[in-house]
Amino acid sequence: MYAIYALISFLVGVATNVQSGVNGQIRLLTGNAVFASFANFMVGTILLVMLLILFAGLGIWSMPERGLLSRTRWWTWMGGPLGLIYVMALVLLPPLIGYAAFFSMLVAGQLFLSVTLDHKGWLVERIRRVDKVRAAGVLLLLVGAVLIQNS
Amino acid sequence: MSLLFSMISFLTGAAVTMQSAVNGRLRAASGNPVFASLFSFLGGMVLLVVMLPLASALGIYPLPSWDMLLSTKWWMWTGGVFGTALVFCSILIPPKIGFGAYFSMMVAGQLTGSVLADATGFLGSQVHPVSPLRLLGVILLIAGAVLVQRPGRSSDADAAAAGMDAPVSDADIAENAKAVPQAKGGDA
Repeated sequence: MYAIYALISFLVGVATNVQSGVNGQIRLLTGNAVFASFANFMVGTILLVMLLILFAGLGIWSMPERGLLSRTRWWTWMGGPLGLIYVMALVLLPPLIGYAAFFSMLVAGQLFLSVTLDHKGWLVERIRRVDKVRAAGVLLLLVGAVLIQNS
Repeated sequence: MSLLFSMISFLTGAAVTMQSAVNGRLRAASGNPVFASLFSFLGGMVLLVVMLPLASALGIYPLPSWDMLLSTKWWMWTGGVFGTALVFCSILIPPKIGFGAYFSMMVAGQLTGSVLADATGFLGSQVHPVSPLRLLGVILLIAGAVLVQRPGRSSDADAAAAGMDAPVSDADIAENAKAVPQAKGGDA
């Protein structure tokens, strides 16, 4: 089961290339990077509204109960703006420092925080400590990222 | 200046991880990963609806004409479908294998995919053949991701400590306990 989750994670990463490729085509045709992001978010929103109704109808994931807003903290709802930071940075930063530097730093930030959350047990159910093997893994990933971006 | 932009790029990477974590909390509170994904998209869309006329008014990006929109092909609009898969998996998978394992595999897939896209000239991108150095990079990525994996290494004592260390209230943990079994059925 673990291997299947790991494999899906890998495929999700591959799919992000298709996403950025097709979004890039909209940007190319309209000349408007904000519109390309908007198209991406709009299609996703429509799809998810349909999926929400479908899964609720099938009884797999029921609609959230009333009063959810009062039971959650404000930052629980901030996923959208956080995602938008990435989408806008992808448009604005590479022309300023180059794709290689941008992606290398992006990957570094992603791995740094995810390993830290696991290590500290922040926002996760289980602690996964950083040991030598895990630190070596992160280092190899970073070296690999830099090699690909610079060659 | 370049240092500043590099710092911003690093923080953007942290924001990507944070998005997954924050959406995960909304999933735990609502018991519904589709609902959590939807609000992630809705939040971004609301901001973009504000930015679109703003960028147009400032003359940065004029709004596209109907002719432009009609000249697009259907598949160009599928970005949101892939984006949905990404956000959805970023909610469902980290609780199973951890953030480190999830993002290691994701990054390895992302960069391997970009090497493939460059090699084939995917969607009109400039063809950039697989050089020995790039191949070595892919091997290091995958080796690194495998090293970060290693399942089942946390102890129950660690898990108990997590409850105490985490900036998450007891109410949140109670929510979690309620919400997670509800969602279990759908994960299978």
